[in-house]
Amino acid sequence: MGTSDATAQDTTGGRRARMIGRGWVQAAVLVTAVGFLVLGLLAVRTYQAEPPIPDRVVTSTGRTLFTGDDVREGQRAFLRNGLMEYGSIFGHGAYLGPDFTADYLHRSAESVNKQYGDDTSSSSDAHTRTVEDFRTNRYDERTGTLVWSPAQGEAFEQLTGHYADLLGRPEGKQGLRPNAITDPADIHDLTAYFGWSAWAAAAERPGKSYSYTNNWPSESLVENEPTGHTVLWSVLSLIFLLVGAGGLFAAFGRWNFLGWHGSDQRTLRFHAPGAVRLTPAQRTTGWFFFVMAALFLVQTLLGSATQHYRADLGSFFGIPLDEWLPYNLTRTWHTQLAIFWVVTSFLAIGIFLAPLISRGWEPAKQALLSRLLLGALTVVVVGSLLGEMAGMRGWLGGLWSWFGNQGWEYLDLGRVWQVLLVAGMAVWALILFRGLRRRLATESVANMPWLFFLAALALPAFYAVGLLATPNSTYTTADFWRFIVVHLWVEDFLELFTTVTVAYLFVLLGVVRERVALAVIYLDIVLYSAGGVIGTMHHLYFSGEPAEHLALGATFSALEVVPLLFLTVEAWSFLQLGARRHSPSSTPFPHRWAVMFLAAVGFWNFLGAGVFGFLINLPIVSYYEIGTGLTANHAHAAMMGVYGMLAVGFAVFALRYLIPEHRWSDRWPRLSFWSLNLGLAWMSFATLLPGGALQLYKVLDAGYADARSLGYLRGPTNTFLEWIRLPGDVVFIVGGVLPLLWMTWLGIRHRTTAARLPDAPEQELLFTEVVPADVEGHAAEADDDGVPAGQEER
Amino acid sequence: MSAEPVFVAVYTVLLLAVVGVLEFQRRQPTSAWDARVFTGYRRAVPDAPRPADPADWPHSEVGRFHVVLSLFISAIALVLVAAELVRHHRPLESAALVAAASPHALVAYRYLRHLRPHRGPHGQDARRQDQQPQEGP
Repeated sequence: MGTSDATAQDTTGGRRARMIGRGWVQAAVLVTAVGFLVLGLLAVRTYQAEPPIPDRVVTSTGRTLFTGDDVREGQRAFLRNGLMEYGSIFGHGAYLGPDFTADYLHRSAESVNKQYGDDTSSSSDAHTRTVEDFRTNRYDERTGTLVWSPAQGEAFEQLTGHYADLLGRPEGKQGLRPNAITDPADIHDLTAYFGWSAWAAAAERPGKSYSYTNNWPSESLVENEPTGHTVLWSVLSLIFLLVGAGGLFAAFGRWNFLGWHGSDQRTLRFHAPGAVRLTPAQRTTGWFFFVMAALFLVQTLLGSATQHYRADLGSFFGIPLDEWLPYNLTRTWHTQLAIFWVVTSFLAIGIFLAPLISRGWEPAKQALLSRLLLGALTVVVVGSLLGEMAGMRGWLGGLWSWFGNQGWEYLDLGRVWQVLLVAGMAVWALILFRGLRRRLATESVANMPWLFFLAALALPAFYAVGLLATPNSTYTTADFWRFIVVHLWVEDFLELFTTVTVAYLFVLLGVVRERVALAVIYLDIVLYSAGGVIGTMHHLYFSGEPAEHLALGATFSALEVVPLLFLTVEAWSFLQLGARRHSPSSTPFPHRWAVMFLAAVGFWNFLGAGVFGFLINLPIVSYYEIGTGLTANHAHAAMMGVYGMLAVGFAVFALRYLIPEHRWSDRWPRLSFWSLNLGLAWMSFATLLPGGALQLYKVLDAGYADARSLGYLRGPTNTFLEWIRLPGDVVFIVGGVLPLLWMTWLGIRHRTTAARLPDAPEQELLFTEVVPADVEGHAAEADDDGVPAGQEER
Repeated sequence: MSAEPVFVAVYTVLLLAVVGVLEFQRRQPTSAWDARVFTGYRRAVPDAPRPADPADWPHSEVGRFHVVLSLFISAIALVLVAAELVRHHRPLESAALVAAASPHALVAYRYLRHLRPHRGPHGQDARRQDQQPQEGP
């Protein structure tokens, strides 16, 4: 992709010309558009092919077991009581309680088998009849009636009693609060919901030889085994990965399409942080980062409590924690806060960068708007967390889904809070627009200022997609929209915002040229859109989607590893460009620890997202693995390792300017850096990885339902591994989070008073002058576009 | 011999492999221009930038990062084995666990020695780096 047309001046509009070849822009738009077109078609197929909810389920003797309304009401009870943050359904949710789909299927199949075989479970006749009961699809679409065998009806009655005992246990000790769900109508509806999901997991789709869930879960009693699709697309996706990675690196090496020619041989003199005058809005980010660190601390403490339940269900060192903070509540808060604190940092760095991009200009009242935004964000965070507690305890009556908890994992917050959070992010985008508008008016839409703004605008836009999943949605459609947020929002748009922000930081620091940064951003858009958009479907292999979701999800999500590999190389290339310390400059590079956190992002991107993610990504692995400790291993290493480290890195970058020079010490970021990385490594290698591997073995050995049972989790070996995690968590919290909180406290306690006036003249803020390359003995070179080195406009 | 100590012993050996991979990674050049993927690029572009010196920051940190991480993973292995020895200590179990942990003890000792005198894998470089006034007054 050439850059020959990059310097064409747009004289009519008075805008700075596009700084990158048109081909890059076209490729990014085309790949993204195709990705979303396919995603749209898959959304249509989701609605067409989801498992039906019958109007009524009756036995062949005519007895009505439950109705479609019972199933829907059961789903609402499931979400209202936070059961998706306790156990899971179709493999999705939390990992302490059972997977209710697999649990119901296993228990009911056992019951039916027993009824047919008169306790001779090895009887082939009983087995054949059981398999026939479960696999034969007796749903009549015309009448809306699903017919179960009398034995299945009897199993339903038995399991109603079982779930009444499990969910309403007076003494608790199973992760839920004592007497969590005692209403017989709720228990009936919940059992109907679990029973319906188990039916969809075993009954064959019309015209197919596999179930609505592609035969998930693995259950020998009903002959649920991996389908041909599951195996075939696992193999093919591996081939696509190898071809994709090889192709990318070959092209990357052969054609220098990133434009990293020798023209980056510049020597810079950085402003000492104390010499940088911050704008009023930039100064408010001190409070953002303090709130971020406080939320991070609360999130990790809740994570510890959540983890403690896996080690000891009885009590928290003698304290009956489950009475007020049961597992499903601590996990809800833990997962919600993971999003909140990271987003807080992202909002703050956006506000911090906007004046730098606008060369120091900031409109009036930008600081006031930022403070209002932080206040509103705090209200939403606190309100939604308290609402989740109130909703689960039934204190909100019919308003539970509005102000309490909608209950879908990661989208747990009440609908009002969800709308307010979207609105808050939209206001943030507006604040950025106010701050950037002078610069935007003079720039091509393809240049970095616009990309920064558009990437920011995508954050509220795609988080808003989660509003399509409501407690009244069918499971399969809700899961589709939920993963647009959980995966696509994170994988594509947080990643895009991250790439643009990090690239811009390096541009503002003068260590990367804008055109190089643009090429990196466009390449990321192409790569992530190529794999990430359709790759979202890899979460939905077994959620009731048709096989095409499995095929496309496996193929494209395998390709997601390609940009992760690439970014590891790219991260080091960036760092190389940033390594200018040997220069004759008397002003040192001020962001040693911010860059170290970014380097950690590269490491965890490769290990946590790449290796641990790919480990569980193939459909055939996911078939057995979904919902086990290996998923938690990937989730922690990727979410904390990538976005957590990034959020901390952004904070350290801004704090370098917020904390006066004489108060700054490298001791705190150094301690935090090592403790967070080592604590995370301990978490992964001491508990999550070995525990997950053992659980996977248990799935293969004894079936999925057994491996997800409380009995297995409370077994001696698993309990031993859960306890081993303790030292790493202490290192993480005490050595990693507390120093960060202290640093952010310094950022507001001693916040620099040297503020920049709104009408001060424009200036480059982060570095002062560029020493021509020939000072270092190199020939001064010109850019491809003819701009002399060091005089490029930023 | 019960299954749990066997699993811990096998996992400990697996962690040794992880340490080995990290050691391999530590020895790889981090300069993008040295990487194999740039072979074609170097052929195609006559004025390719000079490769980064491993002594340059942040490349000088790569070794330290991998060494500390490896040390920590060996520490995890040793803690796992020690805890397992408390739980299962029949002669055969103890022998298997100690055999699996011994290489980690050696690795940890070696890395500790490596870190102590120089505070970095490129000891001279790390000291030079500390002398530079890059972190403020």
